[in-house]
Amino acid sequence: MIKINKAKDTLLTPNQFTLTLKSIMVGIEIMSIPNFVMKVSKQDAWISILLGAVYPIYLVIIANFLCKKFPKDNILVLSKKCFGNFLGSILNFIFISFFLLSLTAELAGYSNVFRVYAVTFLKNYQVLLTVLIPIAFVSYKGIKTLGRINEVGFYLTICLIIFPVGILAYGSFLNLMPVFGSGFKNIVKGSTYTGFAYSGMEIIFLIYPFLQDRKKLLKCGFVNTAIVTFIYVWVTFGTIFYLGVDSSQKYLWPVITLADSIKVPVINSFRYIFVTLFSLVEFKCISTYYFAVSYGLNQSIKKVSAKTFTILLYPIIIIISMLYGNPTNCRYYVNNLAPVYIIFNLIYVSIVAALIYFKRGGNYKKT
Amino acid sequence: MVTIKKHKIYISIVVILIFILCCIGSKGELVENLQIPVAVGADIDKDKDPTNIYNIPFLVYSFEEEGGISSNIITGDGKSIGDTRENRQLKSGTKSTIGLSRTFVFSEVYSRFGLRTFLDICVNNPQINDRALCVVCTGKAEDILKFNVEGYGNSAEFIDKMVTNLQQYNFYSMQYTLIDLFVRVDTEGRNAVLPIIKIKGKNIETAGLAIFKKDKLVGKVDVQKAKIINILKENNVKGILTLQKDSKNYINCYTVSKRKVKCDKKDGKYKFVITLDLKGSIVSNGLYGDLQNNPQVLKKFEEDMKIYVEKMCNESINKIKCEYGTDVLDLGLVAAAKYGRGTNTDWNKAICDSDIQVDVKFSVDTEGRGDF
Repeated sequence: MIKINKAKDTLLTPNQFTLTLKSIMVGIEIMSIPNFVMKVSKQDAWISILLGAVYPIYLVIIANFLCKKFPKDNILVLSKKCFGNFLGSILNFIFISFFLLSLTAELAGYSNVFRVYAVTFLKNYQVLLTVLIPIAFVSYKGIKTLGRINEVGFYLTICLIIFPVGILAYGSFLNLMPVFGSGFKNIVKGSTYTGFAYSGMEIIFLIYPFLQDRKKLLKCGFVNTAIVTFIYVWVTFGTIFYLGVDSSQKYLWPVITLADSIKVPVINSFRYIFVTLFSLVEFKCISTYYFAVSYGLNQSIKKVSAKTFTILLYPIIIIISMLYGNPTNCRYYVNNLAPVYIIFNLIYVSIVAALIYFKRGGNYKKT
Repeated sequence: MVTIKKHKIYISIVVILIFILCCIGSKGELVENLQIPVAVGADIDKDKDPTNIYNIPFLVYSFEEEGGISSNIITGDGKSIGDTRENRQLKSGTKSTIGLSRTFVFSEVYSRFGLRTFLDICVNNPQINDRALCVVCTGKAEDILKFNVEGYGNSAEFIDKMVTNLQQYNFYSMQYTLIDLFVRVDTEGRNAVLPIIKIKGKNIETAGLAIFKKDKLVGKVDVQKAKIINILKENNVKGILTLQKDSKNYINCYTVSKRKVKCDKKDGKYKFVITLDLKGSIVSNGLYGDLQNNPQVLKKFEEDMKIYVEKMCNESINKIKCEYGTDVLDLGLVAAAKYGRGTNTDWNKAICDSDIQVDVKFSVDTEGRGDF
């Protein structure tokens, strides 16, 4: 009896699972994603973003395949089975280090935004140190707490998606026309810039054993992709509609400007409130990444518990996040590192799936 | 697991220490030590070029110890706008906070010089109020801010209210906020216009419209001309149209306009049709007898008004489209939306070469209480 309860405690409901995926994907990059894509595909940036959703959809399909074959094993176990202990471990470490990169990039980016818009009087290390404590705490508590926070947090921050509706009173549809005017080639090229924004979905390979009802994995993945794509498309559409292609490039984080479209009599600028509320979204995102890293490391080195890893990682994350520096450098590193990792993830995941597909179950019992 | 439980107390102490450490050194500000700017001017003094060319006056509220509020002007000058901040602090008894301002007043000289430097510092500042109103003033910006308007605490309050209410008449729109300026200055096929204000006698009044090409002022028009530009440029604006025979016989109509633009391209030449859908409420009628009972008369009035507005617009449009070397009416935006952006077309030139036709539809909406 006790055992059953315990199992129930560590499993996620489909809703929690979906929103955990959503939490990890939507982070600080939402503030600047329109600009990256707009540089190439101009007013059709929102179409590029729609196309970019192919990446998470592909990952969901692969994850569903792996989940059907080995519902109890995550990808770290599977890759050891496929590549052997040594090579498997190395690839696993690279895979986990991707989460560490994203985590630190998110944290550094968050600090950069927050120190400009909300807490100009704080220093970088002050923001990083304090912000990471609640994040680490959630991750320390394990997957169930994380799932619950992500679920509740989503409903709390759903208003952030609705706020920018105010722009509809100001912008112009002429900014979005001509549709397809930037050319098919540019639209496809623009969609490759969405990689970092759509990354994070890789966590599905780590946490699918935690899903209560495994048959719903595909549905969860697709619903999540739909939510995230909708958010990105809406935000990009809004930015083009409100600011236009040329003016939006002048801002580092054009999406925050959309918050200004709401005019509340007493409040001078809505930006501050928007950014503060957005912290909740960002905390969920970083927490989920944090969990992915500590859980991933725990799966590779079984002797040390995930909780211990959470504590050991804290100073490491702070140090790496400090290295990113100002927004320009931060973007430079992320934009150069992210594509490499995304290509690695794609190949890694595909090869594992392919090997499992061709070898069929029986051969793995040796290792 | 065991190790963590053992060290739980140490972890808690470290967490508390981190929070305490991060709280040290940051503190809030007393309201007496703050000055709240209500209006910011921007001016340049060409004589002092290049050492102290910029002249940025702030109209600030200062909070006094007894709880009173006073407003005064602190002007800073310097070789760049950032330097004026330093200079202003030298003359001020309180810490200057930037942002929060409700009005921006650009002097005419500075507007001709180019607003880019000022807009840049505003885009950069996360505290700035994007919904602050922008106006161009004749003369010096400092003089306008210093000016005392009767019944108002300071000139900024008055300017703020005046510009907000411009949209009631004269077909002015409410597109004069800072964010509107950001969005218009560098966007393909768009150009900014701002209201001009000036001191007249004991009052400040709106004197027309300033026309911008990119960030530079290129032309000024008086209120009469501004009315025509407004009606052709803006959508959903209000104003009074009048048909007049003499000083005693006339008809006023409070009109709401809707603007639609169609664009065609033939042999590399653009052709625009601006359709104005006007809906009017008769305010005063001394021209048409029996307007209330006879549909024929009403129809004739609508026809007359349509011809009058069409004539008025078509006569001025050829002047408007070329006179300032800029695409005042934002037609480039429509053309770019149809024929593609980023094609390196100089819309200012293309619009000047194009054919523009104005079509007017006029209909009477309400007729008021009656005729006298």
